[in-house]
Amino acid sequence: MKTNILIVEDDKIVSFEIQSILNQNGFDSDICESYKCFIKNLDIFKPELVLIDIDLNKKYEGIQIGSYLNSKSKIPFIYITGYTDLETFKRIQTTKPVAYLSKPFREVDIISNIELALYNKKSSFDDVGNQKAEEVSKYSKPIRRALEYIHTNINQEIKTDELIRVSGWSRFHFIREFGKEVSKTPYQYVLDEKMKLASSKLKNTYQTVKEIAFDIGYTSNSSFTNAFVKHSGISPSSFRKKYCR
Amino acid sequence: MPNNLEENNEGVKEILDKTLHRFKNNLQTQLSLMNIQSSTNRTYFDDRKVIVDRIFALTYLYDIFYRTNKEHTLPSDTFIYFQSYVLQFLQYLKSSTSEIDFELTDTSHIKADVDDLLILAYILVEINDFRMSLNDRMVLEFNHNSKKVKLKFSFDKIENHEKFPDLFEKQYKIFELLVKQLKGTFDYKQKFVRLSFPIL
Repeated sequence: MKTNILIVEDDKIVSFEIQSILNQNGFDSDICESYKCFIKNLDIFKPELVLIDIDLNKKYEGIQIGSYLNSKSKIPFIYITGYTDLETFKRIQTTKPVAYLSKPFREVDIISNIELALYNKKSSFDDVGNQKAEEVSKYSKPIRRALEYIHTNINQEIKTDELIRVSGWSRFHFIREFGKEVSKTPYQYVLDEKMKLASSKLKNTYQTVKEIAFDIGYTSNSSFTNAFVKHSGISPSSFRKKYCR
Repeated sequence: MPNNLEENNEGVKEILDKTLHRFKNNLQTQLSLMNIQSSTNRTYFDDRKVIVDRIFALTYLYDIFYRTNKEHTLPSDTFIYFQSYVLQFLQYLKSSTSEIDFELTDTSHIKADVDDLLILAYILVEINDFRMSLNDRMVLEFNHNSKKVKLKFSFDKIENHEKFPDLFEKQYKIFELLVKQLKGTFDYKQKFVRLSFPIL
């Protein structure tokens, strides 16, 4: 069975091109031009992934759709837009897209990002299925809540105080138990997870280092580069050169 | 004074962001048109000319947008004079052939959005390629009412324009998409084809 992908784009030329690319690569697709049409089609078409243009009808309607998907469904989505300014980056970050594609795009940009998103979605479901029972016994409830918080908010800055609040424990108890159960400090765990995501994006996407930095919650390129070098012993651009397929 | 300067800087920054965004979208359209051309096997009479014409359509648009706003401190919208742009682009198309006649009723006071005008220019490029493939002469006539621009076109060698879509069936997809992008409608008559665009 083919994978269903919903395209939300009001430019008929661009949406037709995306649809052609998807058809040629074995996907099934449908096109929507507005928020209203998207809501109507979501239950009928049942997409496994959504491609969204931010600037629908000369408004930021695309971000509204992203927020909807983020809060009410588990369907991954990718933004496609000509916006590359910091303010827009910040706005879209909060809706947690799986990727961000800048116009003009190429066929390879669309397909590699879709494949990566679908792969990640599948592995997270597999992980959930396989690990659920294991995790239940492995971690205590407060630690599970903290880990869940980290994975949901990996695109943002994650503060230890917030993890403590989510766990419901005292600071001292949380840090000691986290170390015992996860074998890392909360700070180290968050950093490792962010760097894992950054490495995957560097390897598998054409996003710039700056875009990746923003995607994983860094507000400046240099602080991300410093953290990456400290963690991996190599700069993000050298890492990409070394491992890029 | 420093507050004014700050506000001005903010305004310039916003305009640069918007211009960059629009320009990237314009490039995406050009790229998409080329990709749709190959995915639908659209054969042009002269591929190179079509691409060059589209680039000039874009260049004139930004030229006029710049000239329109030169006297203002900061442009407040993305509208330019319809007549200036269409006239300049038609004269450009005419500069390489004597086989185009056009008539433009006075629209000197009317403005339209730059994105819409660019698509309109791409539509003219498609029509001109239809003309070249027929090795024919064509007449273009622009009219307007309060909301719509109406473009009538006809070819000397076509006796019945009602059959126009059948004649170019294999080449029609891009033309059709461009017209739909402007929410335009087709009206096929024996003597001409009329397109109406609600872009005013």
